[in-house]
Amino acid sequence: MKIIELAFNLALILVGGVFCISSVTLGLGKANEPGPGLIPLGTGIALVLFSLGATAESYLEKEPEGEIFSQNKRWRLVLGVLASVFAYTFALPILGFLLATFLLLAWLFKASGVKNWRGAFLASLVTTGSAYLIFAYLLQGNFPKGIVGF
Amino acid sequence: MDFFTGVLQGFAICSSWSNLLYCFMGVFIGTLIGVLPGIGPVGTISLLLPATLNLNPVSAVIMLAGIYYGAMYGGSTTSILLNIPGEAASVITCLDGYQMARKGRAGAALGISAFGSFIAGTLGVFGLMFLAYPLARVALKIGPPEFFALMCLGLAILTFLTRGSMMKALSMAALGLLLSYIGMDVMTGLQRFTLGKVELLDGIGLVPVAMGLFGIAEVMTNLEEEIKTEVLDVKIKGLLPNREEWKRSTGPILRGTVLGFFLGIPPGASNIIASMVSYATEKKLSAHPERFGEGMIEGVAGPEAANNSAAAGAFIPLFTLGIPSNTVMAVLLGALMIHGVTPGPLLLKEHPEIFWGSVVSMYLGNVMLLLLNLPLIGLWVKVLKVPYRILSPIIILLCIIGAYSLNNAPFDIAIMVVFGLVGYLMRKLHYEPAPLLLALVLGTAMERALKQSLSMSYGSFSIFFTRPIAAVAMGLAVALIASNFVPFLGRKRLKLS
Repeated sequence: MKIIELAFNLALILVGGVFCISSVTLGLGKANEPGPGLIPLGTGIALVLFSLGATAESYLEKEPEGEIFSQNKRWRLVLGVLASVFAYTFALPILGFLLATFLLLAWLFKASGVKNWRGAFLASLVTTGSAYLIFAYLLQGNFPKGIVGF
Repeated sequence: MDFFTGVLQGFAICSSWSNLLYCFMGVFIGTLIGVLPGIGPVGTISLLLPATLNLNPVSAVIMLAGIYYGAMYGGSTTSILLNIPGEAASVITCLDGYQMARKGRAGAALGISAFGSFIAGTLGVFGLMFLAYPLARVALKIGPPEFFALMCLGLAILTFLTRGSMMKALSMAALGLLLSYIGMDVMTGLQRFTLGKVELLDGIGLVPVAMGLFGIAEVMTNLEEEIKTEVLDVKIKGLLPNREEWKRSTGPILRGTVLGFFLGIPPGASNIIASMVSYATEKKLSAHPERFGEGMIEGVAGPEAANNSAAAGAFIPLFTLGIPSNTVMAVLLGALMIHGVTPGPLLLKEHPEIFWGSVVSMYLGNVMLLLLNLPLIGLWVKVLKVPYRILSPIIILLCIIGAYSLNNAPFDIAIMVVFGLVGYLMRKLHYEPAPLLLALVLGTAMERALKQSLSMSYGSFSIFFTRPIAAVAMGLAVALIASNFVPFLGRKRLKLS
């Protein structure tokens, strides 16, 4: 757990560092006339310091290390689901709302534990249709039609 | 506008069919979401925010506020029947509510929870009406240094009250502030930290971040842990508590109402704390403290009343100072600003219809909730039986639509996914998302207030310690953060969390 926590804290330190460097290039101004970079610089430094503090705290605590992810390796499923939703952001303008959502949901239903593909496709069809009816038709939402035109 | 004219105006606004309908939709959806373990009130408000864009601001606030206190009501149902809190403030109801259900008194537990919530919610709204007006007048006299100090205090209280490491909570608050700086500089209009992306010119959206941190991260955690919901198979009958149960519950409900209301006001404190303090108080006052946790009705009545009156109290800092006291209020603040309304001391003067409309809608909402919760318990139980393998893809789809609809931009879905992953890791590593979200909402206003204060004082930070209100707020904020480094207080805080 401590390795992953360390990596997370290092990422935070990196984010804080990047903000600090960018802030300096933006211009700091004076105390009575703060520039656009002064307050972000102070906040960036605070993030770096707090993250260093959290890292030190984690190493000093005496509690035994626990497993961060469950033993059943379902964290792979979690990453798979997140990756598929991320891919959906690229597919949405090309395939359109109905087709992209239908495909995404079919996969999500199957991944979440619906036993067979037929059931997953059926659940996806009903859910996509209902969502389209509520959000696009009733609430007048504006969704992309994509290359297929619907 | 005087007090009675305001109330009359509120009733005139709320008695329109459309606003009654929005109020009903809000409390219904809020209860439904409160019943479902997963998305929570922050996610629901974020999700439905785009759907309110075509509404006028009063109707939008009426509906979104309805979701909030609806979720407070609904959360108790899962606590009692499932031993899983529907939302965080209902955690404490699990202790005695579930035990009552196991002993065949599920109906009485659900009934007293609904009545207690109704009484507390209604009295809380009275408190809001009487306190908000004078407080707003006082708030008119305060300037940027006081606002900055109060916002610092809000963040300090929230980080102090979060579970686990305060260093982690502080780093999340700092990260939230940094994210709020992305976009145009508040004073010069200069682009900052946008990486050349046009989509980031207006900053990182609150909705995708809230959806990711609260909605997606929750679904991911539940998917990994394969949650199985086993609804207690008891026949729910006798929703009206008997005379003895009423006698035992009246005191806890009234005490919970007062405690909850005042604990809901300070920025950073929340209804979770209110329900816990109420439970501890009832246990202390009881002649049989050893029986708490075994199905004492006082352990359900008090905390449920406290968390509902805290929901009303939480509107006070939002409406009078423009400072959200918790993450739900932070999202509501964002919603109001999207609708072109800036909450603060001038709200009552410039938009009295928003204030009085929302306050009166809360009365009506409480009545609707009582009518909904009692006869529809059977429906909520059926909802609870929907398996998570069906529910999780639907929740993900709702999050996608919520994130996309605000700007019709797939980029916002990507932001949501990124924060979903960050939120998932944060849960695993015991980082709290609440300080991050509150800081993201407050960041721009804090930066503006800090810059104005420094200009006023010719660059001297002493301005925060020489003006009485600012000095008290800043002193408290510094003391709360410093307390983490005092071993005795640090232990007290850990015990509290």
